[in-house]
Amino acid sequence: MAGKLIQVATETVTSAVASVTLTGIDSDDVYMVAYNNLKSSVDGDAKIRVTKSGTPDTTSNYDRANKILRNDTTFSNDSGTNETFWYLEYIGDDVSEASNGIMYLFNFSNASEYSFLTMEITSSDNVNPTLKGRQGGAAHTVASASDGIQIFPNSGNITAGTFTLYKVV
Amino acid sequence: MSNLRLINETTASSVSSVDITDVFSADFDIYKITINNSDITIKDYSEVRFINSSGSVISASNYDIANYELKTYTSFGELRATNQTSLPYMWYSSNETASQGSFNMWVFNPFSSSSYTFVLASNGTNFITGFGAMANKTIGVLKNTSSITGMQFFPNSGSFDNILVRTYGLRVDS
Repeated sequence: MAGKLIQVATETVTSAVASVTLTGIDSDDVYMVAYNNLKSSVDGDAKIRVTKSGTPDTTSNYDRANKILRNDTTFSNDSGTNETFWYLEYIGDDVSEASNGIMYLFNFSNASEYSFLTMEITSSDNVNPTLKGRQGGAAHTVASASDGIQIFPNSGNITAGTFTLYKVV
Repeated sequence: MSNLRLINETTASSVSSVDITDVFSADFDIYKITINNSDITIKDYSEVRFINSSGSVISASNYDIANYELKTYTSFGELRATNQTSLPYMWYSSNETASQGSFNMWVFNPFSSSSYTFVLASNGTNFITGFGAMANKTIGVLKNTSSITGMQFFPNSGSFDNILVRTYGLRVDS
């Protein structure tokens, strides 16, 4: 992806929070989200939603198709339609556990188009233990403008991580 | 100014490995590495090891990797490895004319002494005469909380005829 990356929003979690929201998407440029060292107080899946005017959309309009890469067993497919979120990755709070990733956001500001996202995630889980990642795409099947994303754990809080939204220009 | 900052550009020819030192620091948590024109003397994968703040190449058996091979000429493949002495299967290349693709790698948290170092990598495509094109999607981790300041690239066999490595830091302005 050529071009410059211009920072739009960032949040670094140093004490527990229920979610992280990055907003500021206001043009038809492609946007990129980079995050690192995401941890949660309770082991479980981190999830993601789009925001509309800063508020996460909880309607059942989230579709995804991903390939799950892992070092301990055969890769698998993960897909879903009409759900209330997209999956990010399994996280926890052990020193060996963290999730890191790069996501590209397309058509978010276009009120006539669905919001699309591609993701590349690399994470580790100390329970199995397993290196695990996600490669794929997702769509929010509502033709209305989205202005950002919200990341939240399945339960508990986000305890660490830096999350930054960039515009690709 | 872009938040993606060029830190280092290294070229080398006729070498068995390339060390990129003193590029990871407290200034950035996320880095992007690109490699162009990595001709090697035989057809094989190239590998990565990290270099710690003492300047030592980390070759202990602490690397895990999962690589998805997307091929035009046969079924897609899966490469998995645990407790390796390097990150293998990073990109495939040879010295065939016009056969080279590109390699892109994101590195997360290398300088941190409290977290593992994670990798996301993708190999655009390469083309091997008699077979076809292949791309790769790769994840990896160094299960070590040492502070990492550099990396070493080397082919699994043979040597680099030439290689160009660029290292960028992804700036976060607070």
